[in-house]
Amino acid sequence: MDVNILLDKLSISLTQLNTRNYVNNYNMLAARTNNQQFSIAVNESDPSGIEAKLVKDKKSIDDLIMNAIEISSQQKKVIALLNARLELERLSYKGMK
Amino acid sequence: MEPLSSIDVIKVALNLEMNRLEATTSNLANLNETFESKLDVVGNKSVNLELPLIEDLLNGTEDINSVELILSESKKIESILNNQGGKLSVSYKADTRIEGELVKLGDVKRAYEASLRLFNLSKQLNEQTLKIGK
Repeated sequence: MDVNILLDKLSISLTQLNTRNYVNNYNMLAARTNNQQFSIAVNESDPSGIEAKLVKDKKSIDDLIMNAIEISSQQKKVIALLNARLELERLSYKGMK
Repeated sequence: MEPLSSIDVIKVALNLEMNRLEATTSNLANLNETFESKLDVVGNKSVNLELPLIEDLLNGTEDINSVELILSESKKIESILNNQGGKLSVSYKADTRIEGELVKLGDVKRAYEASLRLFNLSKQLNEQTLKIGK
């Protein structure tokens, strides 16, 4: 895959993870103030992956912590992948010289 | 549009729990305090906030940092009849239930710890982002 396309896709993934984390933290506040909680449902058919909608949800505080751990681990994976690809690009660039 | 800051949301949550902790502690401290006049009674304190809609926060029309805490004081008063050497007098105190306050104290402590955990995880996310390209 072309590195630019890959960078775009990874950038979208990181933005989505950031938004999911924001909503998760909001849910913590909502749970403590008896407000409605939400979760993000990403539209899989959307090629850009940016379009997402909010769905009403109800989670316990433990679930919110587990969700945050999951988001953190997913982000680590995305960044590890991105770094590996960048390293590959560096090697290929050096090889061409 | 301002970038979404998860840390700001948790900052509000930590502030809320800290103020709730202070309110509950104050309620417990005033548990047995009596007053001669109803007007002097220090009522039960509670803290809440009006949370903006998530859509408005995500669209950037509302700012989480502008959320203010709402401090309220309950007007429930208990009358106590005192008998001192045959002389009757009435004193007043806030209608505080020790069991309720202790349950609240436990809840607030746990919620503070959970918020702190979310804060650390959000911080980790930011640190990971800085490792891109390294």
